[in-house]
Amino acid sequence: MTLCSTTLQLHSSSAYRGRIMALWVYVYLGTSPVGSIITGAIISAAGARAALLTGAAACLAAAAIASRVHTPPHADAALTDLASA
Amino acid sequence: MLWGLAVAGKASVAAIVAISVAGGVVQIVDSPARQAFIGSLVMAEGLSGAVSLNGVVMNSARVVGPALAGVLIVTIGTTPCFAVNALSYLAVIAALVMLRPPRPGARQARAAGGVRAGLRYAASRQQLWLPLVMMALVGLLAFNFPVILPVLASHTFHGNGGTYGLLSTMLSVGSVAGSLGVGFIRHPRRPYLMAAALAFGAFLTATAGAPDVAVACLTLLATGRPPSRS
Repeated sequence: MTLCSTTLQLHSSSAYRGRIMALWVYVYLGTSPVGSIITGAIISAAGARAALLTGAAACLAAAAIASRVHTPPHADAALTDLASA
Repeated sequence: MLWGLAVAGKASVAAIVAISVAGGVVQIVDSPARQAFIGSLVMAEGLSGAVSLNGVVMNSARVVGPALAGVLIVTIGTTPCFAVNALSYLAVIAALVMLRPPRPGARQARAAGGVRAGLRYAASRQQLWLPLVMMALVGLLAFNFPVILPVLASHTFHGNGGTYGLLSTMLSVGSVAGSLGVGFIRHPRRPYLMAAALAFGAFLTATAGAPDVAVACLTLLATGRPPSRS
C-alpha cells in the first residue's frame, strides 16, 4: 500500500503529482463503499472466512500486476527518466 | 464548529450530519494535497521513508487517539473534547506556516481539461496506472476490515464488542510496525511490490483459517491495517 503510493510519487513529475495523488486517494477511498457492499454480500452468502479468502485472491491478482511494473534500479533514475520523457 | 454547537446545546443529528459532510468535502482536497506535499518536501531517495513515516504517524494516532479521547470524555466530558480538537488544528497551521519546501512544484497555469490531462498522463505511464489498478483491486476486495471483523468476532468466534476491539487493535498495531518496516525500503522495486501483495494475501488466508481468537490476533497483527480508511 505504502509502496504503491511511493511508486506513484517517484514516477510522476511535480506538475502532475497533485493530480496523480488525487487519483490515488480517489481509488483508495472510492473503492471502499463499493467494496463494503461486495464484501457484505460475500459474508451473507458464505461467511467472514470466505470474504477474507476473496481478499487473498485479490492480493494474488495484485501481485501478478506488480510483476509487470517496470521499476528502474535506482530511485534517482526514476526522476532522470522523467526529465527525458 | 461542533464545539460551538455543543456549547449552545444545539448539536442536533442534522447539524452533525451536515458538518460531517462538510468535513468529507474538506478531506477530498486535503488528502491528495498532503500526499503530493510529501513529494515536494523530500528528495527521491528519502521519499519512501517519508511516505511510510507518514503512515506510521497516521496509524499511531489511530491507536492512541481513541484511547486518549476515551479518557478525555470520561474526565472532562464530550463538549471540551471538540474544543481540544479545534485547538489541535492551530498546531497544524503553525507547522504549515513554518515549513519551507526545498523542492516546490512550479505553479501551474490553470488550463481547461486539467483533469483529463492528468488522466492521460496516468494512462501513459505504466508505473502509474499499474499500481492504481493494484490498489483498486485490493481496496475493493481486501481492505474491508470494518465490514469483516465485526462478523468474524461475533459469528465466527462467538465473541462480543471486546473481541472486535481486540482484533481491530491487533490490526492497527500491526500496521504501525508495517509502515515502520517499509520505511527502510529506499526505493520500491518490483520484487517488493510483489512480495507485499503476496504477504498480505497469505496473512489474509491465515486469518481465514484461524481456529480461535488468539490465532486470529496473531495473523491480524501480521497483516496490518491500511492507514486512513476507517
